[in-house]
Amino acid sequence: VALAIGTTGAAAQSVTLSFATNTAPNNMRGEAETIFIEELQKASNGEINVVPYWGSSLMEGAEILGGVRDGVADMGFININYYPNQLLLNSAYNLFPKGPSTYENISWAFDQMYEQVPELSEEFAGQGQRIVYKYGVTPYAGAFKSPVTKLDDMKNLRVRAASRWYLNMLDGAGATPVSMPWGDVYQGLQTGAIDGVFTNIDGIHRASLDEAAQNIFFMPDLWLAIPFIITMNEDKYQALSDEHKEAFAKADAAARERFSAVWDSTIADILKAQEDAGYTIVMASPEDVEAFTTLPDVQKNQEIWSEEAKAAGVENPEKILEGFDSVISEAVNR
Amino acid sequence: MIARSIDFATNILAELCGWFLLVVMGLIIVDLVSRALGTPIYGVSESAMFVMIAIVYLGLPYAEKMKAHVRVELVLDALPGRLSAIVDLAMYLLVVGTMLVVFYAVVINAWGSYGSRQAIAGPTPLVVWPVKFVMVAGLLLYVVQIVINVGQAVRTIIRADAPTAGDA
Amino acid sequence: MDLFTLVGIGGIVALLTLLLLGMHLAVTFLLVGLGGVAILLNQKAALSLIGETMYSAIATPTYTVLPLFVLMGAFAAASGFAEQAYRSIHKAAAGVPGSLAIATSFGSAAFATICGSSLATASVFGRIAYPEMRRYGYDRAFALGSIACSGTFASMIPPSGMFILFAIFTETSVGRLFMAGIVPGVITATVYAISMYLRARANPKLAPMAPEEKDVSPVERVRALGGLWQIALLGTIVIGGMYAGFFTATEAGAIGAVGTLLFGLANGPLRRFATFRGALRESAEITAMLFFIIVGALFFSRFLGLSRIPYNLTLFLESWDVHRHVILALILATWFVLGMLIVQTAVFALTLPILFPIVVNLGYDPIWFCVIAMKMNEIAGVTPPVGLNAFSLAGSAGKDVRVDHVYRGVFPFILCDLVVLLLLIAVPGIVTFLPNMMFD
Ligand code: NA
Ligand code: NA
Repeated sequence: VALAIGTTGAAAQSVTLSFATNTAPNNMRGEAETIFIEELQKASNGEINVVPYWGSSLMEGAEILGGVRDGVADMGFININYYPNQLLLNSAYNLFPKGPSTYENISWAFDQMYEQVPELSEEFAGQGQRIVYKYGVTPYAGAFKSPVTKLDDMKNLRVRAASRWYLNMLDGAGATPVSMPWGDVYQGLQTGAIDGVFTNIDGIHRASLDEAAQNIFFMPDLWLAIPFIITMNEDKYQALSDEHKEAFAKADAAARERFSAVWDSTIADILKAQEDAGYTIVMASPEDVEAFTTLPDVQKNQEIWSEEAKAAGVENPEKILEGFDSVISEAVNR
Repeated sequence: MIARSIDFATNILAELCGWFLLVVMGLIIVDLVSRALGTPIYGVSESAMFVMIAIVYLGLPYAEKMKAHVRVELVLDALPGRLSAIVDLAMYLLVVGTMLVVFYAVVINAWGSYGSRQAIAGPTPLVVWPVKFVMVAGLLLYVVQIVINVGQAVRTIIRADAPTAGDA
Repeated sequence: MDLFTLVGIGGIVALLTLLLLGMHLAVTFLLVGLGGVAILLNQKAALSLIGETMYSAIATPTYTVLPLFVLMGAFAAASGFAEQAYRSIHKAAAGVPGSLAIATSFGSAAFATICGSSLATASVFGRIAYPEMRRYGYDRAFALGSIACSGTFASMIPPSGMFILFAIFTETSVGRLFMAGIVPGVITATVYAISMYLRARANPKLAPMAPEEKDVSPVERVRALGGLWQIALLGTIVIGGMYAGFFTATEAGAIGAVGTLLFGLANGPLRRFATFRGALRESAEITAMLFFIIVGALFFSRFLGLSRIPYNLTLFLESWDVHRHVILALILATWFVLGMLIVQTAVFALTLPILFPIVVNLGYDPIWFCVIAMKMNEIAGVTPPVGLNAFSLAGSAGKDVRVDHVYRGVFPFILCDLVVLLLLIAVPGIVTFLPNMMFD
C-alpha cells in the first residue's frame, strides 16, 4: 500500500508544460531552447516535461506574448522586437548597437539589466508572465552583392534591415535603407532588387542569404542587442511546487553554461561554411565599428525613443537609458 | 427600413472592397517605384497588408448575402427536400452560434489591442487596432447577414409545411 | 489513448460530419477548432487564440500577392484576354485530344516561374482557363482537376514560398532547393499532359472534338499562335522584370494586375465602367471568401497541433528501428494523411524539423528529401477534405463550381503525382543533378 501511495505521490508531482516558439529545433536558436528544456527536465529529476510546438505551429512569433498571458501555451519564446509598444522599455536594447562580443559578457549584461532596471521585468509582469530564461544570438553582419570591405562601400547600396533603429543607422551610414517582407529577401538579393541585407549572421546563414549575396561584412562588436526570452505564465509558475521553481533557476544556469559553447562554435562554423563555399568574409575594422556606433543617428534614435516613451506615459525614460548605458559599457569593458 | 439599410451597407462595403484592391495594387507599385528611385518609403507594404485584411472582413457580409460560401452539398442534395431544409437550417444555426462566439473573441482582442497600443514590428510602428475594429465591423454585419439567411431558411421550412397541412 | 489524442480524433470526426452535412467550410473549421481548444485548454485560452488567429493568420505582407493575382485573373477574364489566348491554342492544337487542359498544365508551369503561391495560381487559372475549357465543352471535373493540380507547380517551380519555408526548417540552401524543383516540376507537368492526352483520347466526353477541328491547315495553326502575343508580351515583361531585379515576387502580382488592366483598357472591354467595377467587386468577394477559409483551416490546424497527434506520430516514427525505406514510406503515409486534414504549412511546421535530421541520418540526400516533401505538399493541396487549392479554385471559377466538383476531378492527377513520386524515389539523380551541377 505504501508503495502504491508513493507512486501516486510521485505521479501527482510531475507536470507537463507546453512551449510555443517560432523557430525550428535544428538551428542555433532551436538548440538554445532545446538545451533549456533538457536542463529543466534534468533539474527536476524528470518531473517537468515540456511539449514544444516548433516552427510557429501553435502561434506566430508576434502572438506568443498574448498567448502565454491567456494560457494558450504555458511557456513561450518572446522576441522583444515583435512588440514595439507592449514591450517598449525592453526595446531600448536596440538603441545601443555596440555591445559585448563574448557570450559570457553578453549573458552577464542581460542578467544585470533585469536586475538594475526593474521596470523591464515589470513590463513582462504586466503581461501576466515572467522571464524564465534568456539567451543571445550572434552579432550583426551585412551580406552584400558587391564587395564591401569598409563602411564607405555601403554608400548608396539598397540594404534591407528589419528594425527601424537599424534602418535609421544605415541611412546615416549613407546606404539606402529598404524594408522588405522577409519572404521576399532571398529573391530580392538574387535578382538584385536589393543590394544587401543587414542582420545577425546566423539569421543570414540560416535563410541562405549569404548564398545570394556572397560578400560578408562581419561586425562582431555589433551585438544583436536584444535577449531572446522564454517566459512562463505567472499563474502557472505560482502553481509549481518550490522544488520545481528551484528547478527553473538551476536549469537557467546550466543551460547558459552549455549554450555558451554552442554560441562560440556556431559563429566559427558559419564562418567556416561561408569560407568553404567561397564567399568573401571581411571583419569590420575597429575604426568602422567606432564610426558606425557613434553615428549621430544613434543619438537620434535614443531621442526618438525617449519622446515616444514619454508620450506613452513613461515618467523618466532618460533614467532607463542611463541604466542601459552603464550596464552595457561595463559589459563591453569587462 | 432596417433591412434596407443593412442591405445598403453590405452593398456599399462590397463596392468599397473592390476599390480597395486597386489601393493595394497602387501601394505595392509605389513601394517598388520608390525603392527603384533610391528613396524607399517605410511601411507601404505593411499598409497594403492592412488594406487587404480590411477587404477580407468587409467583403464577408456580401459573400454571405450572395451565399458564396464554400460548402459540400453532396449529402444535402441527396436528402429529400424537407429533411434537406431542416439539416440546412440546423447547420445555419450552428454557423450563427459559432460566429457570435468568434465575433465576441475578436471584440475582446480588438479592445485589448487598443488598450496595449499593439503595433507591428517593422520600419514604422504602425498600430494594429484600427484594422482590428474594421474586422469587428465587418464581422458584425456578417453575423447580421447570417441571421437574415437563417430567417429565410426557417421560412422555407414553414412554407414547405403549409401545403402539407392543407392537404390533410 | 490519452485525452489529447481522443479529443483530436473526435475533432476530425466532428469536422468530417459537419462538412458532409453541408455546414460552411470556414465556419466548420472555426467551430470544431474552438470546441477542441476549449476542451484541451480552457475557454479563455480558446477565445484568446481564435481572436488573435482571425487577424494573424492573414497578417503577412507576402500574402498581398494573392488578392493581386486574383485581380489579375478577373481583369484577364473580363477583358477577353483569356478568351483570345484559349481560342488561339484551341485552333493551333486542333485535333489534339485535351489540348486546352494540356495548355493549362504547361501554362501553370510557366506562370509558376513568376508566382510562388499555389493558391494564387489555382485562382488565376480558375478564372481564366475554366470558363474557356467549359466553352469548348470540356467535362467539369476534368477541367477543374487539371487546374487545381497544375496550380501546385507554383510551389515546386521557383520562386516558391514553400521552399523558402522548407529551407528555414531544414537549414538547407534555398538556391539548391529552387534548382532541385525545376526538373520535377517540368516532369509533373509533362506526366499530367500525357495523362490528359490519353484520357481525352480514350473518353472524348472529357474534351469533345469539334467538327471544324478536322481541317485546320498548318498555316492557319501558325497564324492562330499570333493571338498569343499579348500574353507573351505580358509574360516577358513580368518574368524579365522580376529576374532583372526590378521587382520582387510579391510585387510581380501588382505588375501582372496593372498589365492585364492596361491590355483590358486597350482592347476595350475594361473601358466599360460596369465591367471594370464588376471585376473589382468579384475579386474582392473571392479574396474575402478565400482568406476566411485560410483563417479557419489554420485555426483548425492549430487545434490538431495542440492535440499532439502530429507530434506523437513523429515521435513514433523517430523511435522505430526498421529499414530506412520503411521509415520513408511511413513518413510519406503520415504526410499524406496529415495533408488531407491540415493546411500544408502546418503539416510541415509540425513534422519536418523533427523528421528531417532522422532522414538525413538514414543516408538520404537532404535536398532530395525536401523535394519529396514538396511533392507531398502538392498532393496535400488538392486532397479532401482540407485542400486549399481546391477551395481556392472553387471560390474563383464561378457560381456553378462546388468544391466537391473539384475533388471529383483531382484523383487521376494524384495518381500521376504518385507515379512521379515513385520515379523521384527510384532515380534520385533526377532531383539532385541540377543543383549539384549549379553549385559544385
Ligand atoms: Na513558383
Ligand atoms: Na489536403
